[in-house]
Amino acid sequence: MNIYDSPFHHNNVYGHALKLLKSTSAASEGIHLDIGCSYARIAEHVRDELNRTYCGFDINDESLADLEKRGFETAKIDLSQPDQVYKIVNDVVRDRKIASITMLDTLEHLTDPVGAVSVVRQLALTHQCPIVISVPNFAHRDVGFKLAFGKWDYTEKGILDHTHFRVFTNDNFCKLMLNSGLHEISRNDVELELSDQHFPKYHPVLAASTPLHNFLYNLRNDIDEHSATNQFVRAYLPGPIPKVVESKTTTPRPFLSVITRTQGRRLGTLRDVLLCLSAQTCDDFEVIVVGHKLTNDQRLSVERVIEDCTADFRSKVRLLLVDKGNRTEPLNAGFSDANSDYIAILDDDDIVMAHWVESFKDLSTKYPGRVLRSSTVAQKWEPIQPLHSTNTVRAVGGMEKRYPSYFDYFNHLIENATPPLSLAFPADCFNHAGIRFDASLSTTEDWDFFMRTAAICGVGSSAEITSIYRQWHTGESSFTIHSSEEWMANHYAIWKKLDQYPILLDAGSASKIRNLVSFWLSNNSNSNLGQIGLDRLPHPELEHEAYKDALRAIIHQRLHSRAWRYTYPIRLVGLLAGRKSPFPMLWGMDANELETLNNSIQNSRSMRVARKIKGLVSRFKY
Amino acid sequence: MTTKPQKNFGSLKVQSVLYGNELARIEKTIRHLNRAADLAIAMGVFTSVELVYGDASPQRVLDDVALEAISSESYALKTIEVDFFSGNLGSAAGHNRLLEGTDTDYVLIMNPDVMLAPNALIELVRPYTGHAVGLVEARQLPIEHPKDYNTTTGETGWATTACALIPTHLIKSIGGFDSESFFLYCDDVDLSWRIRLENYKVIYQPSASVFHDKRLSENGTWLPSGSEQYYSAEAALMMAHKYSRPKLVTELLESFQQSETPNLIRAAETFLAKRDADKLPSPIDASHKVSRFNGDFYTNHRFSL
Repeated sequence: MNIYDSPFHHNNVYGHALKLLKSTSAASEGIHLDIGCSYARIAEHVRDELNRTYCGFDINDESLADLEKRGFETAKIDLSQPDQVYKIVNDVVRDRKIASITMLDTLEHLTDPVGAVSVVRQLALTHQCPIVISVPNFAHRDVGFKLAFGKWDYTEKGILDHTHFRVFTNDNFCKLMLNSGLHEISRNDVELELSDQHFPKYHPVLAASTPLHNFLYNLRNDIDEHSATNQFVRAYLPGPIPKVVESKTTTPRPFLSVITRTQGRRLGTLRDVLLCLSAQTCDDFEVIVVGHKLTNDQRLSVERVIEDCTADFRSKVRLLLVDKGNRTEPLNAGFSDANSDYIAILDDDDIVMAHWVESFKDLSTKYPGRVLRSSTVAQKWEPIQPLHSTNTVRAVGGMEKRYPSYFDYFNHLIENATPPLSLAFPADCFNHAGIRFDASLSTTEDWDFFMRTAAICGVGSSAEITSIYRQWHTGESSFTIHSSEEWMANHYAIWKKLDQYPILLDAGSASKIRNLVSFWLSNNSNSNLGQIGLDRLPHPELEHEAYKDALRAIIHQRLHSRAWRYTYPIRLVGLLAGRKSPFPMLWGMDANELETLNNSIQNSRSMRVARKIKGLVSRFKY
Repeated sequence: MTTKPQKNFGSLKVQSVLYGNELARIEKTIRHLNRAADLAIAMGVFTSVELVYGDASPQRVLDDVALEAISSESYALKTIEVDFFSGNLGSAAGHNRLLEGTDTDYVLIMNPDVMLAPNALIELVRPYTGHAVGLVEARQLPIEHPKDYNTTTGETGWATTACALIPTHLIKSIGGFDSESFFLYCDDVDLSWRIRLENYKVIYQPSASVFHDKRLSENGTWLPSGSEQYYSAEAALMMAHKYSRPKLVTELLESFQQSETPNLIRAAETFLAKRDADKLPSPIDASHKVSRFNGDFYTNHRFSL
C-alpha cells in the first residue's frame, strides 16, 4: 500500500472535508473536482453521500490508475503549470456543472501554491461553487516545542513530510487564501492533541506531566486556538481579490502607545491627562482615548476636549469607541489598536510628570523586552465646584510613597503594589504572546495582566517617580463602584489563576525562596530542627477554600442587595409562570458551581434592569 | 464643559522671563499658549493676545530664525517679541521691565516653562466677573500647590506668579514687583499681599490648569536645590521685615546663623549687610491685615510636600 493511501475516517481530513461539503453544497448537483486527489478514499463518499460525479486530478499515475479501477474519472495534471491545469480540467468538465471542488493536503507540496489556488478560484468563479482546501499546521505545539529544543524531524508523511515545500500556519494560510480571492465561509479543522510529531514521547518538552511542557502548553494556548490543530480544513467561495495594502512598517512606529479609558464623565481630569501628555519631554508616543459606552453627548464632549489640544499633539491622539463589556474591554480594544513597541495605561484621572515617556524610553534601552516600571506616589483628591469655575478637582493630601520603588515578583504574588500608570508593557506580549485582559475580572484586571506579562517578560524597574496616582477622597471611583466582596473575589480568582500553571521566575529567585522558607520554618513553633518540615508550609487548598468563601460572600451579598430585592417583581412573573427557584446550597457547591451561579446572578434580567436604573439615577445625580 | 464667560475682557499681554531655557521647551510652551489664545479669542473672552519674553540669559535663547519660525505658526498670537536684557535682572525686575509701556487690558505673568491647558485663559478670566478681583492664579500640574483656598469663592492668601492674571492698571498702580527686595522668591507673595492691601481679592482658580515641570525625589518629597534654599531663606527674612514682624526676623536670623547649612548662613549675612547699608524696605501692614506667617508658609497649607 502506498504511504499516501490514507483511509477515509470521519475524524481525519477526508471526513472533515466531506462534512464541510455537505454543509456548504448539499443541495447542489453536478460534478465534484478533487485537485491533487492522490488515492482519494473520499471519492466513494462524495459519489454516494452527495450524489455527485467524482473526477480526480493528480500527477501520480499510480494513484490515478487506482481511482480509474474504482470507476472514477481521472486526468493527469502538473500543478506547477497552472495554465495547462485549467485547460485539462475544462476538457474533463466539458459542459457539465461543477458542484464542488476539493484540494486536500496538496498546496504544501508545491513551490508556488498561488498559481494552483488561482486555477481553482477561476473554476469556482465560473461555476459558482464552494472549494474545500486543507493544509497541515506547522505551528502544532509538537512541532514548535521540539523546534525550540533544536529538533526538526522529517517523516515520510504527516506534518513534516519530507516532500513538503511550503510551511503553513493559520496566519499565513488565511492570508494566502484571502489575497488569492478565496473568502472563508466555514471551517472544520482536524484537531490532534498528540500529532505524528509527538516523539520521543518522554522528551521533557512533550511529556504531558512535566512542568516545562505545562508551562509552554499554557503559553501556546493563549496565542491562538490552533496549538493542537493538525490540519486546517476550510471552505471558501471565490470573490474579489483585495487590493494590496502597503505594510504599516513603512511608517515608523512610535515608541509608546498610551491607552486612556474614559466614560466621558470626568472631562476636567481628562483635560489634565492630555495636558500632561502634551507637555512631555519625549514626543515619541501616540494616544488612544478609548471611549467606553459613551452617550452621543459624552462622545461629542470627549471629541471637543481632544479637538481643543494643540495641533501637533492632536495629530497623535485618536478616539476609539467601545460600546460593550466591562473595564477590560476598552483595554483589550486599545491594546489591539496600538501601533507601537510599548503600551501604557493612563486613565482619565491620572497625572504624569514631564519625563514619564522619556523615563520609559530610557528603561527600554536598559531592559529591552521587559515590562517597564517607574515609581509612583499616591495622592488624595476630591471633586469641587467653586463659584466662578467649571467642575474641577483639588488635591487634599500630600504625596504618599505607598508603592515599592523596585518590582518584586514575590511581593506581587500577595497583592498588587504597582498602579498601572507606572507600567509600560511590551506590545509584542499582547500581539504575539496572546496575553489579554481577563474579562471575567470586574476589578484588579491590571494586576492579573501585569503578573502574567511579568512572569514571561520580567520587569525592568526604576526608582524615579514619574507619576501621581490620584485616589478619590470623595467622588466616584472603582473603589466606590465595586463592593469589597467583589474586590476580594477577584483577588482570590487571581491567586487561583497563578496556581494553575508553572511560573517562570527570574534569576536570583532561588535565594529569595530559600530565605522565605527559612524564615517560615524559623518562625514556626512546631518546626523541629533537623527535619526539613516543608509539609508545614501552607497548603494551596487553603487558598482554594478562601476563594470559595469569597465567592459565597459575594453571592450572599448579591442575593441580599437592594437591587435584588427591588427587582423581585421581575422574578415573580417567572415564578408565577412556573419557573423553579431553588434556594442555592452555597456551602455544598464547589468553585465551578459557585462561579456559574455568581455569573448567572450577575447576568440575570433582574440585575441588568437594576444596573440600568442605577445608571439613570447616577446620571441625574451627576 | 467649558461655558462662555459673559463678558469680553479686551486685550491680553503674556510675559515671561527666560534664563537659559531649552529652545524646544519654549516652542512647546508657545504652542500651548497659541492654542489657549485661539480658543479664548474664538469664545470672545479676549480680543487679542500678545507674548513678550525678557531674556536674562548670557546669550539669546530665542534667536531671530527661531523667533520667526515660531511666530509664523502661532496664528492666534498678535505678536511675539523678545527683549534681551544683557544681564540677569532676576524674575521681579525682569517682569517690571516687561511691564513698562504695556497698554493691554490684562497681563498674564508666567514662567517660561509653564504650558497652558487649552481652556486655561477662558477659565482664568472667569473670576473677573466678580467684584474687586485683583489677581487670579492657575492650578499647576503635575504637583498642585498645597496652599489653602476657599473652595466656594476661590479666595486665597497669595498667588504664585508661575501663571497668574492681573489687570494692567492694577499691577501698574501698585508699582509692579518689589525687585529691590526680592530677586527670585516671594516676589509673588509680596505682590499678592500688596494687592490685598488695596482691597482686591486674590483668587485661586482650580479649573484653569497649567503644566509646570516639577519633579519629586525618589522618596516622594520635593527637594529644593542649593540656590532655591538660599533665595527662599533670603526672601523669608525680607518678608518678615517688610511685613512688620521684627520678632520673627530675629528668630529667623538666629536660626539661620546657628544652622550648619552654608546657604542659610549666607542668607542671614546678606540680610544683615543690607540692613547695615540701610537698603531694607520700609515695613508695611503694621496691623497685619493681610500678612500671615504660618511656620515656613505664608498662608495655611492643606498638606505638606
